[in-house]
Amino acid sequence: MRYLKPSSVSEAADVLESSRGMILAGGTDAYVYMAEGFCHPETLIDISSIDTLRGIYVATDDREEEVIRIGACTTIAEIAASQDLPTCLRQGARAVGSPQIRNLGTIGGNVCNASPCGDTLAPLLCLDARFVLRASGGTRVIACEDFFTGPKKTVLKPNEFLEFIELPASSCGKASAFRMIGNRKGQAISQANASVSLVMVDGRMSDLRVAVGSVAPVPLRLGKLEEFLTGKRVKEVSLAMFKEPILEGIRPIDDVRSSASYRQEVTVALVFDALAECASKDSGECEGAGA
Amino acid sequence: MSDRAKNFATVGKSLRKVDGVALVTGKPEFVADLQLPDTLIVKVLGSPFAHARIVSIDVSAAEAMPGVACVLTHKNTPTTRHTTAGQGFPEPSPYDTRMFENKVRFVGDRVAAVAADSEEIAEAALKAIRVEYEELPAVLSIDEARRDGAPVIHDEPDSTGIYDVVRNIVADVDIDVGDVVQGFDESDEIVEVTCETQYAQHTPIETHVVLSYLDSANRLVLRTSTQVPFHVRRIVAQTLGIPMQQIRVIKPRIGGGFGTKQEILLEDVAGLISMRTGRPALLSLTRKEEFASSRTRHPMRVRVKLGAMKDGRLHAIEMEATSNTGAYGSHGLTVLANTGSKTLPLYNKAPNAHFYGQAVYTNLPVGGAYRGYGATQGYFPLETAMDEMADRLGMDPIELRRINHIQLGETSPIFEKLGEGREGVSQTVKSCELPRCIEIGSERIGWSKKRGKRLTIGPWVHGIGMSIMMQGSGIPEIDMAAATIKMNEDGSFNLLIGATDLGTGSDTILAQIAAEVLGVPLDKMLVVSSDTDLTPFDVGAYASSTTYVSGMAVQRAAEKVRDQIVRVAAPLLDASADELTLRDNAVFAPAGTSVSLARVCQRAMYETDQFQIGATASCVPHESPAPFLANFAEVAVNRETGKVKVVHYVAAVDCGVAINPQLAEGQMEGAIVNGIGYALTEEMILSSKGRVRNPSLFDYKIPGMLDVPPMDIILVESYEPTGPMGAKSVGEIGINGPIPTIANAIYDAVGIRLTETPFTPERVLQAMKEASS
Ligand SMILES: Cc1cc2nc3c(=O)[nH]c(=O)nc-3n(C[C@H](O)[C@H](O)[C@H](O)COP(=O)(O)OP(=O)(O)OC[C@H]3O[C@@H](n4cnc5c(N)ncnc54)[C@H](O)[C@@H]3O)c2cc1C
Repeated sequence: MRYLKPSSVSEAADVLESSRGMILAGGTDAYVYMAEGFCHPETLIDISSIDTLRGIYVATDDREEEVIRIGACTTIAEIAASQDLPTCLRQGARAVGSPQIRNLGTIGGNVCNASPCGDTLAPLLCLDARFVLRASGGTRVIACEDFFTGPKKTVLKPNEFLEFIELPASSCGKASAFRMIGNRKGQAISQANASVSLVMVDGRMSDLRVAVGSVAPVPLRLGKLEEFLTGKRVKEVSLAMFKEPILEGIRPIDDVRSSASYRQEVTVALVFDALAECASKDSGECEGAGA
Repeated sequence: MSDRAKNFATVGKSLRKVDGVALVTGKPEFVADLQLPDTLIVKVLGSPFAHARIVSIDVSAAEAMPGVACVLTHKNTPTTRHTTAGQGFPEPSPYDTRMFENKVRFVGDRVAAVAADSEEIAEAALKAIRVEYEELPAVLSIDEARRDGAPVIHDEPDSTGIYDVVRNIVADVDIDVGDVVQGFDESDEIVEVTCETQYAQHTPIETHVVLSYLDSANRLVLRTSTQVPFHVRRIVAQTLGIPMQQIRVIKPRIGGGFGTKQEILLEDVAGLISMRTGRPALLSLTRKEEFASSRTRHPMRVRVKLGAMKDGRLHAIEMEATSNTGAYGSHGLTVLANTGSKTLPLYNKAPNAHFYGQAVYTNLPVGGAYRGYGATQGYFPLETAMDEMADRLGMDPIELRRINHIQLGETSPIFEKLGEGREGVSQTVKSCELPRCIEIGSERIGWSKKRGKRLTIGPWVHGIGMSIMMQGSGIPEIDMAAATIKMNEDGSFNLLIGATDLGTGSDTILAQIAAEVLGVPLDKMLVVSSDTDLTPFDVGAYASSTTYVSGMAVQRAAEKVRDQIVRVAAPLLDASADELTLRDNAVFAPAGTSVSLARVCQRAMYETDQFQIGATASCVPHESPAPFLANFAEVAVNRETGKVKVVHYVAAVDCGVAINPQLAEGQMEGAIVNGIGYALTEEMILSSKGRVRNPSLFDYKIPGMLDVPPMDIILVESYEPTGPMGAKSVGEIGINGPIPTIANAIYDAVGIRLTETPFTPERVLQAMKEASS
């Protein structure tokens, strides 16, 4: 096996192009797969120490809009601790593994690993995140909604890697919350998770996004529910009312962690709970960048 | 602290563990830390089927691989039937196991073993073994096992000790006190509860591991992670058909056992490989193999029926248990018997009692000893039924227990009727602080303030529950432990004990007992334990026996040594031996004059009438005094997700005198966390073909630090007159508490009775839905 450690993004893109190797960031998923024999890469391309891939800052995107940019190799711990990111993303990051895993694991790894239960995926989806993908020929940008194609499957081509994640600057002005249920505290994979972002206008919900994870092959936006809730006051809605729009949207499976029917039920409770937290604040709470 | 315990100098103090510094500084103390040149790595091939006959097995390709030293299968290994259960001889478990066999009985059952120069080669060789199986219909539940026409799991003619081969029944127990039928007729109120417990595993951090090698005299040395070194020696000799004197077993430090290492699982294989090749052999299970092929807690279905009078007095108790021992009958009979014998004496006031049950074979993972040993499975329905009975009678659950539980000076006919798979030993209770445990615990949890209040915060509803229990201390008239103490001329002592420290701290507390008697600080006791060549016999660490049984052997040996010391010292002090006392490394005469222990030993070794000051003593207990425990828990139940959080856990325990209070608390803390895992998250999930679907600590969830609730462990000391320095035991009892205590707290919070463990969010939510519809 070859192990390469490029020092810049362009060098990384070039060696990826020529070797079609496997990108390695924190290795918290990748090493497990290798140890279990799920994959046998000939070349490992370690991008974890490329400086420009790390950090959270304000930038201007390809559409000349102001965005919060997150380098793909920013660690989960850094996401969790950042004051410059929306609540739901920080809460999602905090739900990942243990301190050791959060210190090594990266948000790019969580995204590109594309596990249906990745804890930052629903938050990114409900924040209208966009992903900047890099190849030796240049970059392309793709919406989070279009990135995931199945469990562990994405639109990434063999010669591409994730360079940045971008959130609209406005996402910091939104109220947001993430909820998950696992079978113990810490080091537990989500049996289901939910993320909500919204803006309260005169006490009514607007600009609402609801996303759920672990209940379908890919993280899902619940458009029907968003429609149903938009313009309503939180007090007007009850758990029973939005059961239907949620259950219509999701396709959970039975596995060792949970049954499909429990996942359905608990998703409703998680969304409701997240919504209640959002409604209890009237604005976003991140300071600094973009707010 | 009891008055008698107050005057101790060393006992009753939370002294540092004698092996603590070595362990925390990473000294190479464990089995696999010893690296010997030319060590072979052994890998085992497990069965992919729950039940199958091996039609043919071809190992020629594996044997031909460079680096492969030895391949074992049923064709080239001894065929002696034995049990893997490391119990006293003759073992009460059936002889239904062979090293390798032409039949496999569960997924993971042993098919072949390969020893090679490296792990990679061994694994490649395993893949090169060609096995043709004839799959047989499998028994995958306790209900199927006894059905007419069910596949017979042990149809081989040479197995012995099985109760009913054709119906797959390993063991059958049935004992009566009074007449329960009449008892229930006469009762004012009847409650009946049936509970089911799951497959769970011990998950010691160190999996099963053995290193075997031949010493310079060609004797087989087994350095192994075991709770029962002397049983390992006996059973390996029996299995391999070699003289016992050819074997030496050494237990170094081990990374936890909890019962799973009361089993001889790997030593025969590694040993035979060393004998065949002359080379050291290391066999260490991966976590996946540990889950699939080691031992588990016997899953059980236990029904409890209680009859009580209006005033709350219990009039009749019936308990019926069905235990799943899996593919082999290891501990099948005794775990089943303990389900009754360790629970029913608690409510000795009921004049009518009936315990009956069966342990059945299935083609599923194998049961074994696991902390609590059947009592855990029995207390779930018993304490749930008591809670329900209190509810029906409109009584406080504490009050119902108070008027029914066994008290100081009392006995129970169950003690005599039901023992270790045979008749037991009658005994009266000589120490019991259960009433104070209940009182102190209920105050600490805030019972009267919080019970029935259903404090609600968002979706979380709080509730309070309690339970009480007893266990035993060793197996009376069966267990035997011995200790040897010899004195050195600098005033130090070698303490040689067969007892087995699993990380429990037994080396430390046994040294404390000896140091107490001999009037020296702990560091004057040099402990060597668990080496069949060097230390005297001890059955090993199980049945909460070490403190009580081995401790008594140590105390007796120390007393004999003390007697020798004062005899030597008397002429030096011009006093008579019987008026001398030992303290502060010296012997004191009543007048206050003294002579150092070093001086005494020098005299004995070099000066007059020389002899080695030293003695060996043994203990066979005549009873098994019970530790007592009152548990209280506050839980919060999420009405929307079904999640249960333990908010506060209080355990007030009477373990007699705590020889080392901090270690006793550690045993309780560990047992409770272990029990909380068993109650809420731990479950081996089996596929429809009998395969463990979550064989990793990633998917089998033991509690992490974040899941450990605030716990109050309160040692409510009593003085057990038959125990060493007043001690009883504390190793197992704590694990019985969490299931019924949490279940009763959930009932207080949301009004549902859970009867199936673990209490996953899914089950809780389902039960709440059923209750509201
Ligand atoms: C004990 C443990 C507990 C865990 N708990 C959780 C949990 O609770 N929640 C959760 O969501 N996850 C959990 N994980 C999974 C894992 O830690 C996360 O998914 C983490 O974010 C992965 O990041 P990484 O940097 O380690 O990725 P790596 O392991 O380095 O990579 C993962 C995959 O993504 C690819 N990749 C990585 N970065 C890029 C990139 N920039 N561009 C293209 N491809 C890339 C790699 O090629 C690989 O296929 C856990 C893992 C372990 C071992």
